[in-house]
Amino acid sequence: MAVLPDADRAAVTARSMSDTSASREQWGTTLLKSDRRGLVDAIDQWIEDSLSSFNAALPEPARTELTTKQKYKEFVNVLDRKREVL
Amino acid sequence: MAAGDTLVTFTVQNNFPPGWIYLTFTGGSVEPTADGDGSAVIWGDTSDATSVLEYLVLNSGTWGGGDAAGYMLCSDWNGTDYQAENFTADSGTPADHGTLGGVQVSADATPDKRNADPVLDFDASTNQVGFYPFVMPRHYGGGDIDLNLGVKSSTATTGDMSFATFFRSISDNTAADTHQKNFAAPQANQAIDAATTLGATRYFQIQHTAGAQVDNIAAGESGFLLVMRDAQDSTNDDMAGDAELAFIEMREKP
Repeated sequence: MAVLPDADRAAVTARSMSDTSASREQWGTTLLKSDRRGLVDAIDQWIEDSLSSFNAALPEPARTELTTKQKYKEFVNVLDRKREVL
Repeated sequence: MAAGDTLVTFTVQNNFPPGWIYLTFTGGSVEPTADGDGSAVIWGDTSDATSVLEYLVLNSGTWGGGDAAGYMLCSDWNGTDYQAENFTADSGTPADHGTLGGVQVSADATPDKRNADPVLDFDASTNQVGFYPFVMPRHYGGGDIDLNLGVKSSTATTGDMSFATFFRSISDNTAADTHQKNFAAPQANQAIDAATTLGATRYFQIQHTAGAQVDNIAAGESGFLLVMRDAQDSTNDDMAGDAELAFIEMREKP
């Protein structure tokens, strides 16, 4: 899988800023729009670079039987919970 | 009453969401221009979506070179979603005047509350507008107009915002439909510093000289004031998060 297209990265950044604006949650004190976009780009790139090791870490039979989308969904579920309990 | 006195004040309660949409485009080869009825209808060549062009910004390229790129703010959208498709101006016969970036996005700024204070939220990524109908007071003497605006930041205490304001006047019996009369060219204040304390209001001014810049509005005439955050201006608008418009004061320059 390739990194997200530019338009998708822009859309993720826009939605993130919109969501944080709605909750008036301050994200740092010096981050500009370009920094928020850089954050999205870096996360997307890290995910892309880590996909092989992520898949290799999954136990069988999940590694073989689940689709890529299902593996991503489970990753998001675990990450969401870790975020909630922080 | 005298020059320097307040003419009109606006808060979010005076905003009348115009229902405009925001469309990006690339590969433009024919510049949309108003035809005989004073409007330019933007047709989606595949979707048959339509809307009326109100304001176009060319960010790069040229129409003659076939690589014009920028965005359009449009009114009177017919409700059919645009696609990533070619568009044609002022004809339902597809003619590929350029390529749209995809589905339209609402260009209406969003009414909101900050604690108990009403504010109008302007997005950080899409150019959005606030729309204020008014009647020019009888004591307006025809002079230059200063707009004083107060804006908060939803989440930022650093970075800059860029705002533009437009006037449109409607004189007696001069236009059957307001769409047949475009807004006057905007005036802008660019690179406005965000307030350094979260929740504080940054005051700034946008100046319009008398005459064309206020669309030649006269005392007693109907008018419309459009306020736009130029979030697409990456040079002058780099503040992350929403800008929250608290008020606008219109006064005749002393």
